[in-house]
Amino acid sequence: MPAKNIVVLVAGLLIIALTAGGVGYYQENQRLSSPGIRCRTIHGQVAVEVLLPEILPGYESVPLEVTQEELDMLPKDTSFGRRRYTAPDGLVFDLSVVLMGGDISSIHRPQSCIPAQGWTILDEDTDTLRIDGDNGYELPFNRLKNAKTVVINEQPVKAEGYFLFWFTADGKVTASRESRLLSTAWRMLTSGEVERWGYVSLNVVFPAGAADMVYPRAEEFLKTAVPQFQLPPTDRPPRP
Amino acid sequence: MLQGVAHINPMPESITTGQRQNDLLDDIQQYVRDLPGIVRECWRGLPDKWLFGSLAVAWSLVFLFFGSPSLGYRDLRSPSLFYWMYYAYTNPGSEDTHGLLIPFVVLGLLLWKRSELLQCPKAVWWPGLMGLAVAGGIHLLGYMMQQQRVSIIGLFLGYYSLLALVWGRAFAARCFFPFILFAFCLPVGLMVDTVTFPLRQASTDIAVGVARTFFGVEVIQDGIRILDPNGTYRYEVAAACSGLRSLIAMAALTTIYGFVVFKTPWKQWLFVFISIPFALAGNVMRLLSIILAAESMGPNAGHFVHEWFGFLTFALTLAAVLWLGRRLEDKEPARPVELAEMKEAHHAG
Repeated sequence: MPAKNIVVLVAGLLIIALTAGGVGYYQENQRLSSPGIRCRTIHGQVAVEVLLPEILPGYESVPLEVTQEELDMLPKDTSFGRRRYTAPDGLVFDLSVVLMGGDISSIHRPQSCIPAQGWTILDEDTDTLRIDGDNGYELPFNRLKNAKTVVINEQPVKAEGYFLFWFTADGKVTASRESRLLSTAWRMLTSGEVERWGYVSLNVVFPAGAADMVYPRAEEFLKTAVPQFQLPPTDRPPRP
Repeated sequence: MLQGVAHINPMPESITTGQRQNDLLDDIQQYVRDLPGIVRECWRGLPDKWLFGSLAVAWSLVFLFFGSPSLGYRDLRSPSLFYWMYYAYTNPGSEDTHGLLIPFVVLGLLLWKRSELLQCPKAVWWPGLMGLAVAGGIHLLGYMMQQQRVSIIGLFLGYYSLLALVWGRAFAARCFFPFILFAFCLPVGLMVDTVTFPLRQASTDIAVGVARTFFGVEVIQDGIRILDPNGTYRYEVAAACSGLRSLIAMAALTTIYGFVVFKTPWKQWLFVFISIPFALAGNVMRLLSIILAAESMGPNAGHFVHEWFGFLTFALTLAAVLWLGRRLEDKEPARPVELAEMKEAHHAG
């Protein structure tokens, strides 16, 4: 082999080795940041107990089971919090938190799961909501409007639903998946920490045509519930 | 030995389109028959293949053992990016099955272009190392973000940089167009709904607009739902009806078509992107057919059109693209080398 080719081979292999080394170093040195959700550690486990409020004024609440399919499918260090809140008039709000461990595949896009459950996404956009309190902040979230035909008393009935979701980590809240990923990469590069994101969602189902009445109720629910389980972001803009 | 399309002389004006199509088909059949000989010819004619092979194997090993960071998800407990890609292409309901074919298509196109590639001057091109370093950085970033799609970009950029490093810039420039096809190896996967939603919304908006404006059909639109005011039919433009599959198939076909037929770079690029408006138009045509059928003959007719007209609208759209291709092909200038060959043939005659 000519000497020039040997130099090419060595230089190429060096860059390839540096790439492998960089990935290996990252694997060995990654640390988890704190979650942006109130939770209780479980001794000896990465997974934690997510603390959703049991008592919320004006609502009755019960815990919801995490399905075996979810437990089998998602990484073992995934943590869950899930409760159903029922208003006196029967309107039901399902609140869910999926908190990742070191593996981002704990968090899935609802745009994939919702159609899999038989819903059609009619519309999607983003909105913000003012969360009051001493550490008040603007909560950004995604809003999916969905529709499905359900059978009640052997009659097909058109149902609609709002699925509101956002992401929160140590000191951060965002509705944008891209922001979350970029923030994860930046944090990793600058501090060697993996941001531990929580995916928070609220699902509310109602008869078709009642959207205008239900949406303000969902916002009101979030104003009450969010301060109970989500830590306020530290990078929030100053209060007006 | 069969010559690739790039070396077929321009046809005289008197030769018809039909004859040209037959010639192209004959060329393809002959190409397939000659394939073993072609591979042997390439193997003999390509210098420093062991150097490229060693580096490519080493690069592949990085992605085999340090390729995918998602070790927790049930079906993906492997560090291999190749395994992740294979899963993305083959899992039930995947919209990305074509990803398995792309490497073979790229290889086929490179072989098709072999005369040009074998003849072009080859020399080590040091900036290729920089490309390799950038590819490594992209993979590292993808790994940190746990985004395998970013790592896939790094993987193919790395292979391309190795080509450029070992065989030079001119060789890499000639390989650029087939390599573009590796973009179709990026799985849409779980992003499918995010990608398809704008397509669904745009198709619905245009189809409803055309139905109202040009056909006087006063359908009601609610997001991606189309409703008849009398309540006789109601359609929801689901993800499967977004036209994404048509778009991917169309984009792959037009890219290959542009590469094989045209020599002018702007026409090749035009045919990379032209699939987007054509695929959208095809989907609008399909939705419009459903609305008009349901409006004039009832919901069952609309359902029939929904079930059976997908292929027809795709074929019509493809025909329109090919028609445009033919129009542009007629004005395709002959390359200097071909003109020289023609002159030589003329003098010999």
